[in-house]
Amino acid sequence: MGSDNRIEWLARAVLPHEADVRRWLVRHTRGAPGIDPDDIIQESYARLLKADLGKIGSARGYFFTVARNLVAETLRRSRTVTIELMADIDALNVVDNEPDSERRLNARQEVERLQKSLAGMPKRCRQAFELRKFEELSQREIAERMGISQSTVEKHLAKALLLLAQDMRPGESGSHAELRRDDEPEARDQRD
Amino acid sequence: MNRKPETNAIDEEATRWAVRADAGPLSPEEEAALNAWLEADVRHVGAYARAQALWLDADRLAALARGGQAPAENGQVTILASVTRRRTAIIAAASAMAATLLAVAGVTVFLQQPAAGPAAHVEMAEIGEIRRIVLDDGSMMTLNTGSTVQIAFSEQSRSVHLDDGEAAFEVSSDPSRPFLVHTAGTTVRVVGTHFVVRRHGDGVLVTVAEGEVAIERGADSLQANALMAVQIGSGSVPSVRHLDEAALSRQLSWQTGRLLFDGETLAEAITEMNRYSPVRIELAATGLASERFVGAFRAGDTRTFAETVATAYELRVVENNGVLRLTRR
Repeated sequence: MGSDNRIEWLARAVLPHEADVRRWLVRHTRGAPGIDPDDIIQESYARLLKADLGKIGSARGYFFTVARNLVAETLRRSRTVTIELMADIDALNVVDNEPDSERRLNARQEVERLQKSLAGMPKRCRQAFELRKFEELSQREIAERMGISQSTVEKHLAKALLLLAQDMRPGESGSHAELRRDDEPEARDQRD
Repeated sequence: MNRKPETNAIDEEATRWAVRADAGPLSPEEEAALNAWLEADVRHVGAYARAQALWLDADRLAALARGGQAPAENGQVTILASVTRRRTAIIAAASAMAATLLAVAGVTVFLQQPAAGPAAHVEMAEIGEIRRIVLDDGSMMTLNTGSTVQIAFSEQSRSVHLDDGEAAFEVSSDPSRPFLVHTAGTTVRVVGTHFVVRRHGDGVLVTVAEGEVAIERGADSLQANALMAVQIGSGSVPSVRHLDEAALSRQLSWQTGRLLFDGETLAEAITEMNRYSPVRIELAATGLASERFVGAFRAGDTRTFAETVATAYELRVVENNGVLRLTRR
């Protein structure tokens, strides 16, 4: 299977569960030394990328299992972990695998979130993103249309994607103020 | 949420690479830089895969929002599978026509309904159209090209009749109201799950992505779980096939407006492509029908498909009366 298919699988089957795994991590590893949920999520994706899909029944369950194992491995390497904490983590082998718990927002909510996220983006950033994803212009065409360099287009798109990923997360307000602020000066005035 | 700047930096760098990869092939220098970065830390590998998945998922979001600027009103969103920006106007006209047909069909069905029964309404997807529709209970229905359904929800049950074509369902859980899909004398019953029902003539193919469904037809009844495809034909014993995630992903790929082929025969791939466009492909060259084929295409982009196949098998595309014939050079 090509890596494109694998990315497609991540997008379709794994991404919708990320918020739940992250929430679970935050809840169960609070106070544990050396555990950063972001690290665990990133490493989990690296493992999911190499997983044998034929053997995975539920992507959600597998995501939780991988994250839990990474936590356990990290804690075992750490010398300061208390026996109690270790036992807690070891007891977590029954992971949250409720089929219906907050998987993906429904389509209406998603579209609303998307529109809200777009509305909150700096103007040029939003424009570049819409030209790429809605009008399907290539990055080169966007550069021509907006009269900017291709590397500036890349910057806009990368920022748009980071903001969107943040805003689409269930249960978060999506305020990413520091990211929004440092755009071009024109962006601040013309945002609605 | 309190995020460490270092981790944020990884996600930001990963996002930059994902966007850079979207711009076109990397230069040898860029590729070396990307590889060095990926090898430096396993978190980089995961963050990059995640960023690529997010970038890809934005296509799905855009498709969801496109053409449905006011989804809040009726929750209905149209994805035009074959839209390229040059063809937008034509497709828009076609879907305006579809909307008219829809209204007419709705009236007909309403008249046929006895006053006591739940009022049914009709939804359809024209050839080349893929429509995502949010049902009243929050369930999501995606109609594939050339499909018609009748929807009848009551306080006791949620019924969808698939008159023709193929539909995928992501059902919101409601144990007090079973979700039923009826087609060709077959009933698929669920509580909450993600599955696809496809009707071809008298046969029915049910593919289950998540959860579990019960299928009934005449005296036959069986359960199907995730990663199972059940084929029910007239007069034959139902057959159950187990799918791996990759095969499942291919079977569901039309929901994002893309068709993925991985080892299907050329004849099968052509049949599949032809479902999405009034322009048909015909394989006139002999001896190639059972060649195994791999590729990803936009549903409805018949021309690109034909040209790709022509290049791969050294054929010629001859266009005549809306038919793209693939012949030997």
